[in-house]
This record gives sequence, C-alpha cells and structure tokens, in this order.
Amino acid sequence: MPQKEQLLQKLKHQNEQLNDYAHLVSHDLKSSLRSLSALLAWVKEDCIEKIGEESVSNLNLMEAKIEKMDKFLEDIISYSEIGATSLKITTIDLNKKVNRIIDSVHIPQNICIVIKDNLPVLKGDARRLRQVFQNLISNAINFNDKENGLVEIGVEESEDFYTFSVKDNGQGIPKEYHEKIFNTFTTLGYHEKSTGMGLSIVKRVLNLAEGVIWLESEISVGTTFYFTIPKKYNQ
Amino acid sequence: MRKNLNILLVEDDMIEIMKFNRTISKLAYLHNITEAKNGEEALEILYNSESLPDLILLDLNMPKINGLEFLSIIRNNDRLKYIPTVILTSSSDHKDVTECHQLGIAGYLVKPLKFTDYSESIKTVLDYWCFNEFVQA
Repeated sequence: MPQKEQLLQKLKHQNEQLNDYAHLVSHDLKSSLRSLSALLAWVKEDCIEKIGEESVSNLNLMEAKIEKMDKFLEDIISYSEIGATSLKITTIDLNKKVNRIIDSVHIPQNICIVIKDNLPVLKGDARRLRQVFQNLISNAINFNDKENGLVEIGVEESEDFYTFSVKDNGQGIPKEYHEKIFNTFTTLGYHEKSTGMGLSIVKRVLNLAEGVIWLESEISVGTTFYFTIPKKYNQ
Repeated sequence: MRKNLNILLVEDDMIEIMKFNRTISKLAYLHNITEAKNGEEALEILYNSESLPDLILLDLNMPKINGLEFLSIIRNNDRLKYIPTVILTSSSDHKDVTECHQLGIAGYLVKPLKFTDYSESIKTVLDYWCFNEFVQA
C-alpha cells in the first residue's frame, strides 16, 4: 500500500529529525554547563575565605547539580544516538569485552563481580553491547545495599539465541515497577547519581537487536536481569 | 630540548578562552598564544602571517567556518598541512571523532566538566608538545 509506505517514510524522517534535535540541544547545553562549572570553581576559589560555611555548602550543592545535569545530557546523547547511527557488526569475544567493561566501572570494595560462565564469541555491534552490559553492571553495583555485594554474570545458549543474566544480591525491585523502570527518566531514587536513563538505553539497544529483557526480583534478596541476543548475525 | 610554543587557539566562546588563559597563566612556561574567534579568522591569520604556529588548538562547534571545515581546508593546503592540530571540544560524538581522525589530527580532547580536570589535560597536552621538533615554515 503506497499510502502506508508514505506514512512510514514520513515517520522515519520525523524520528531522525527528533534525534538530531536532541543531539544538537544536548551538545549546546553541555558546552554551557562547562562554562558554568568553570565560573563556579573560580568564584569558589576566590571567595572561600570570605563567605560563610552556608554559602560554601550552597556552592557545593550547585556543583553537584551541574554534575548531575551533565550526566543527564550524556545519557540523552547516548539514547538519541542509538537509533541514529547504523550498526557496525564485528566479531566480539565477550569474555574479554565484559572483563574490560568491569575494569572500566568504579567498583566499591564491598562488591565482588563474578563471570560465572564462559561467555561466547559472537557477532554484534561492540559499542551497543557495551552499553547493555555496562548499564546493567553499574546498576547492580550502585543499588547494592549489602555488606558483601555480589554481582554474577552468566549465559545460557539456545539454538537461536543467547540468554544472558546479570544477578545481584541488592535491595530488590518491587513488582509494580518491573515495567516502569524501563521508561525514560524513571528512577526508583535509591541513588543520587541515577538519571533514570540507563535501563531505557539498554531496552532500546536490545529492541533494535531484536532481543528482549525481563527481570526476576525478590525484595531485599536481589534482582536478576535476563536479556536475549539472537544469533542472526552469526551465520 | 624544551621550548616555548606558538599556539593558535581557535575558539568562539568567551568563557572557554578565559578558561584557557587562566590555565596558561599558571604554567611555569610562557607560551605565545594567538586567538581566533572562528575558522574564518584563523585562516586569515594563517594566510597573512610569515611564521606559522607550532600547534593549533581547535574547537569544533563555531560560527562561519566550523572546526571540521577549517581542518579540511588546512589539510589540503601545502603550506598549512603539517601544523599539528589538537581538537578541543565538548562532543565525544562518534562521527566527529572519526571524521577528525580521517582528516588528520594530533589529538582529540573532550573537555572535562570540571575546571581542574580541564586545566590538567591542557597542561599535559602542552607539556608533550614542548618537547617536539616541528617543520620549520
């Protein structure tokens, strides 16, 4: 049907424009934030002796807000880039890749990360896969409230797809939030640095790769995120 | 041998220029800085001066002639193509990074949010270039 075709074309175009727009605005705002951050640092440097404790603490709060806003913009840029750039498929050794991701995230001393199974070598987009693992692993670390935190990464192989799991022994997620947490800007508010974008980025990446994501969770016992990646690129 | 550098800073944002100058003023070495507000002004400076800068520090997002356009112009100019150029930008955009490297750059620096981190990275870049031999123009 040509009319449907036309409509799809129009939607696709509008979607691209929206992505470009988000991208452009975020970059401009990021530059402005850099200026604000520098000016604030100078004011602090010049005045710290002259102003009272309360003003110093207010300046520190401003600094923290600026940092958070920067993180927001970073996430919006990542999110808008997902659909915009085409996939670059290469062969990835996930054992190496995931180990490198673990090395790159900040791990507190009380948290232990274990790769339970031998992870596969598969074909996929390395940057996208990185976003998925990195966000899930960071969440598992950041929201962990246990004295000995444990994060386990595993995989099960089926004929057409892999099912990966990221399991933590953290605080757990109430059932009513199991779908909501994948929405943009939704955060359960357990961590001051969270922007509520991480899981929406993960879901968007997986959607495009024709994978699915779900979770099992028990309050104060922990959460396991499962996601599938089809083997379609591996022929 | 360590030497003072002649640097062309191509940047349109006033506060970014202040950040750069504040950083430079705290260094032990006196570098000679020329400022250009956009690619067009930078090209004019390069075309009209007898001696070329040792190093260009280039912002990407600028009015008139932007960073990428400027870079592609100097890389296609026989007299200007050897000037090492380090990108200074707030965009870690995959496309920008790739295009810059394809055109030929001597570094790509994404401006950190915090001024202290920014200063540190500028200092490191200049410390490195201080020890380099340059094509004499």
